[in-house]
Amino acid sequence: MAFEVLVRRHRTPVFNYIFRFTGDRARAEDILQETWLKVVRSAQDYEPKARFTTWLYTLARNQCVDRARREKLRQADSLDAPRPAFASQGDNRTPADFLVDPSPVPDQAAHNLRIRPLLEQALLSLPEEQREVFLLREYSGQSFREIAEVTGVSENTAKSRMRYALEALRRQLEQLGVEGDWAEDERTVTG
Amino acid sequence: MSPTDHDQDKLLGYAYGELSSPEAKSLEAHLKNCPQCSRALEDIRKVRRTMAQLPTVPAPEAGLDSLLAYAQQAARRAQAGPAAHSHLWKWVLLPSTGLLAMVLLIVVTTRVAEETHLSLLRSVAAPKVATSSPLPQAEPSVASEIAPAAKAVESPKEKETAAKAERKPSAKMLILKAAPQAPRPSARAAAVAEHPEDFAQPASKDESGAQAGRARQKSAVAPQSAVASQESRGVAAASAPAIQRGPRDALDREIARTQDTLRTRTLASQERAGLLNHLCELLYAANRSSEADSTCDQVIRDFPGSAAADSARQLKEKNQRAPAR
Repeated sequence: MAFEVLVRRHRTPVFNYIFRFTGDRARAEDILQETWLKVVRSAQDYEPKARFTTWLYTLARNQCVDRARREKLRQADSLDAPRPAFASQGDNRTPADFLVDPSPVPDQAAHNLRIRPLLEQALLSLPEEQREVFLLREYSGQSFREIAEVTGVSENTAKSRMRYALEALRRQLEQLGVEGDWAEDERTVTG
Repeated sequence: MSPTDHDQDKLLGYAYGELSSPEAKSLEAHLKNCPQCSRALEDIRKVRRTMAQLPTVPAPEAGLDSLLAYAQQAARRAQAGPAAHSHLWKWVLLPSTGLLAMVLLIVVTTRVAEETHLSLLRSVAAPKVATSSPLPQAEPSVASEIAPAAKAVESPKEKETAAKAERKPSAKMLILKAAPQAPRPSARAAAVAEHPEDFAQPASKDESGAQAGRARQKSAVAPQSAVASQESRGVAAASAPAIQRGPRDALDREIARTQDTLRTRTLASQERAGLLNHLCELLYAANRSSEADSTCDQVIRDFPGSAAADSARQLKEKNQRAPAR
């Protein structure tokens, strides 16, 4: 079945986009399911002239934005509150806890394990509109033109948001004591 | 000097491989001579290298089967197409809805008819208890107004007038067209039967007491529907003058209806007494004296000391004194 092929091909990338957007695994699972249900229900609205992934990420992004809007009404964000991404993984440390970490770094795996929450924290510190652009470009492989389509802004605005996102991340990573020089090689996720 | 927005956009495009080959070559040439742009590009690459360490999280398997099942179901529905839906609507839903509507209409109509009949009988019966006292002769009662119809059988002209009046939809019009004449005892039942609500108002002038008030109230709330009007006309045909000339079956039907109501309905004792009295009058009007006597006896026996019992007693005596019609 063609649909099953599509689901299996795009499920994980879409899930990662949603997970990084929301920072909460349980919520991301819900939104992932809602997104695919929406794909089934709105199949007749899909225009083959657009890339399927662009349409798919538009649906996923709209679900994320709607959910975030609802959640925002419910809870106020706080630096002292455990970040949702960490909380959902059973880690109740606050971002401040990571600033002073006296534990030694025995090897690269342990190092990666230690910095992962910091990277997640850095991502979640971005404003929503910058985060979504960064996620779509960096992890989902969408071009700036496609990002503009998904987010409903001009390509220049998408690029501008990306510049701000990169600059904000650079500063945040510096503050958290994380630098890009430990990367094993020059690899990036996409692009 | 920091790169302009335009340069930064170019750098972004270059970092993400979105520049065309000539554009990329041109930028590379620029980078050799521009340390700011080179540093900016390096910053972008650093952030990318760092953020690339975030691992890919596998999507959960939960929900995948149900999603695929849902998609299959949706695909089957889509294949069936809208024609199947309209087919279903046309051949199943539409007739079902129509049938349901008809059943509802019948049930509602029956209920309304029953309620109207009952309230009509009540509005007729209630004032009769109170009006059992003799009517003053000078009072221009409905009874006196309706009496001339009795002459219809004797005068062809009046017969024509009465026939016209009977064709009229309103019983009240029939009453108003008739010229007032001296009331006759036998006309009273006819007047009551013909137009109970009109009867209740003048009759209540004659008497005082709670029963009269209640009779007015009941008369006032009695439905003035078409059904009531039909009932009223049906009864009018059986009114006293008409009793002598008109179809007896209308009177018999009214008697049967009243008996049926008394038999099947749960009534308050006062309502029951009133209806029994009404039945007495109808039975006397139909010359079924023995049944009328026993009905009056029943009222006297079952409701001793009540106004209904007094009324029944007077009615019985009056009819026993009067010569048989």
